[in-house]
Amino acid sequence: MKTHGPTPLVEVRGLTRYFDVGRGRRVHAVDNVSLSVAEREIVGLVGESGSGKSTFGKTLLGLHDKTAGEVLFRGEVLPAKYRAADYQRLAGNMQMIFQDPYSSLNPRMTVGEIVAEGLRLHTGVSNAMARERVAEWLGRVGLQPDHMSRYPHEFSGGQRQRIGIARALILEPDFVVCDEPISALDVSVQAQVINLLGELKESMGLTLLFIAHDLSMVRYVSDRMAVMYLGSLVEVGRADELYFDPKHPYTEVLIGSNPEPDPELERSRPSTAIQGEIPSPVNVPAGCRFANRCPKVMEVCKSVTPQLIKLKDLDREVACHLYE
Amino acid sequence: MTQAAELLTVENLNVEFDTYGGVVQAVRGVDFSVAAGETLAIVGESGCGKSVTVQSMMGLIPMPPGRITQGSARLRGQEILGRSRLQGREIRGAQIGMIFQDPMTALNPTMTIGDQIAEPLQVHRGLSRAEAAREAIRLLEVTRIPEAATRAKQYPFEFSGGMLQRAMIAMAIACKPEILIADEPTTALDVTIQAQILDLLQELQRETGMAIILITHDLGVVARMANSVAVMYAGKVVERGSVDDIFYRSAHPYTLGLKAAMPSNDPTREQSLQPIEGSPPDLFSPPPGCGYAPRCPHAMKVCQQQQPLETALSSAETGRPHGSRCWLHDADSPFKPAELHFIESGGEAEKGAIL
Repeated sequence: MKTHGPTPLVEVRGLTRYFDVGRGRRVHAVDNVSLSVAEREIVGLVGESGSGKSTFGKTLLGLHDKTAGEVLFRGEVLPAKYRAADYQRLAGNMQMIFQDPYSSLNPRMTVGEIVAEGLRLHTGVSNAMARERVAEWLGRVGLQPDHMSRYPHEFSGGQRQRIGIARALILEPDFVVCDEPISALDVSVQAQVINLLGELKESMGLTLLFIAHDLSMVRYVSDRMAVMYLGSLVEVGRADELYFDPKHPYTEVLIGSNPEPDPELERSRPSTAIQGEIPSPVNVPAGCRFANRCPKVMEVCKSVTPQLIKLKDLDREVACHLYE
Repeated sequence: MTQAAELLTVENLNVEFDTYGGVVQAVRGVDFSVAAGETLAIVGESGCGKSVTVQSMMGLIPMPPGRITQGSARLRGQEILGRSRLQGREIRGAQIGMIFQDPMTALNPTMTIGDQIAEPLQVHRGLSRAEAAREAIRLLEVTRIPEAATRAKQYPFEFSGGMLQRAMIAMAIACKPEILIADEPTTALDVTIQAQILDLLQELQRETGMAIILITHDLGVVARMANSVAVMYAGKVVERGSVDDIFYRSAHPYTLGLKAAMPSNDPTREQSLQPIEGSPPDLFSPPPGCGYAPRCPHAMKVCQQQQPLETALSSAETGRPHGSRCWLHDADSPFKPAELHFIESGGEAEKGAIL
């Protein structure tokens, strides 16, 4: 383990993923995104639907082929297009927790089979050993070992998400992409799942990419936070600093639109609603992608694409011409 | 307790459903009231009965299997429950409009947006086809849909989620209702679009003076929109009061639990999330006592055995009654009101010592 130096656990360089949708049209789902995640760090990735945050997570894990760019894991460049052997080799290192605890568990498999599947495929453990590990993991995520023989439909949403967590973590990966792990859950249950992830992160030394659209929760969970808009990163920084002092106009709007559970604060702050909606990611025009909705738009924004640049005196990167 | 100008008063509403598994008691004695021009938020988690409550007022509960077993809902003194389909039409869509969580499934995919908005205008306001079509375009303009005349000729699949919700609002306000019921209107939308829709609802309320009943699970949206709040749990309203009472003088342990389970965005008060352990009770056989007792950190013996009644709490200057259905607040409670701050500070009651 030589990773205690400055090498990040996961480093993404210029990751790009386009989807061709026929008639020469091309969806720019993820466009030239660079982001690194240090060992034991939680990076929160926020953005509206259609911003490409889930595609980024999946492409990062090799679930989509990369159109361009590369992903490094502990300094090793991962293949642009995974073959069966690559999944076999990397599954023990990198895993994913999915958003919808209803559709991400096979209804015909028992909980025991679901959680044990990774073990069966990626390690040579005996059935008896696998059962023991599954029982241990069900306990760790707050379920009962005898839930093993039940089917997913017998569980509530929060319990199903715990099953999904046990399935992802039983191989003891180093890096986990959590794609909206709590957005399908009720508030009181969200806190249960977040605390569980926090405990497991501590005990296992996990590194997490936490993808979500709930800004308050992402700020709470993450060490650093990255904001995505229409396939590109617009701002990256320490979670608290970014949340309380956003620099990019889009981040400002996004955080200003997030209603806080505090009536006095809500009455006192002006509405920051902006007009328009996130444009189609098909054949994205040149220039800043936020230009058509930006309250601070300038002439240059319409023609020149801003790059992420580091701000002076702040641990922050912003892709906006205002800061050049 | 009631204010002078209550527009809608719901009392002791009970709704149940026959299912293969038995009878589900979805709503078990709900009371609330709304005044003209104000926004009432009904808050609660999935399965707490908040949607069933408003659907029963709109006559949208399929009967059978549904059944309103008790209760009344009076709009300006006039009973609106238990009407026939035809009688219900005078209320539904005319005096009370409704918008739903998922506009994509709530709208008819085979009709143009303009025709769908025109339909209630012909039914309820007796406009001619041409008049209704013109009025539909005007309503789309009112809800800030650009190029309304062109958009009126399009179908739902040609609209984005935010635009569809605007079209739904246009339809709901077409007959100038006194009350607009919004059932999770922004849950399916992104925050920037949510902000636009919430702004629009507030503007329309200012212009028309309609009351809004907002159903949501998002306490941020409640803080932004509501004048008064009813917190529901397991088919009952467990606490109600002005928005300030609910947020700053929360009384019921469930309300307090919800607040503690959410991250606070106050940087000076960084605390860890306190989840509410367990899950809501099975409404096939609701517990004899308080529905929240099995998850409540302050539950006493009486809580398991008997349903608490609503206790009126001292309300601050707001003028709206603040009440909590909790034995801790009962006159016979072993705690004096002043001692109840222990809940706020997250302390444990010394149950053994008192019981």
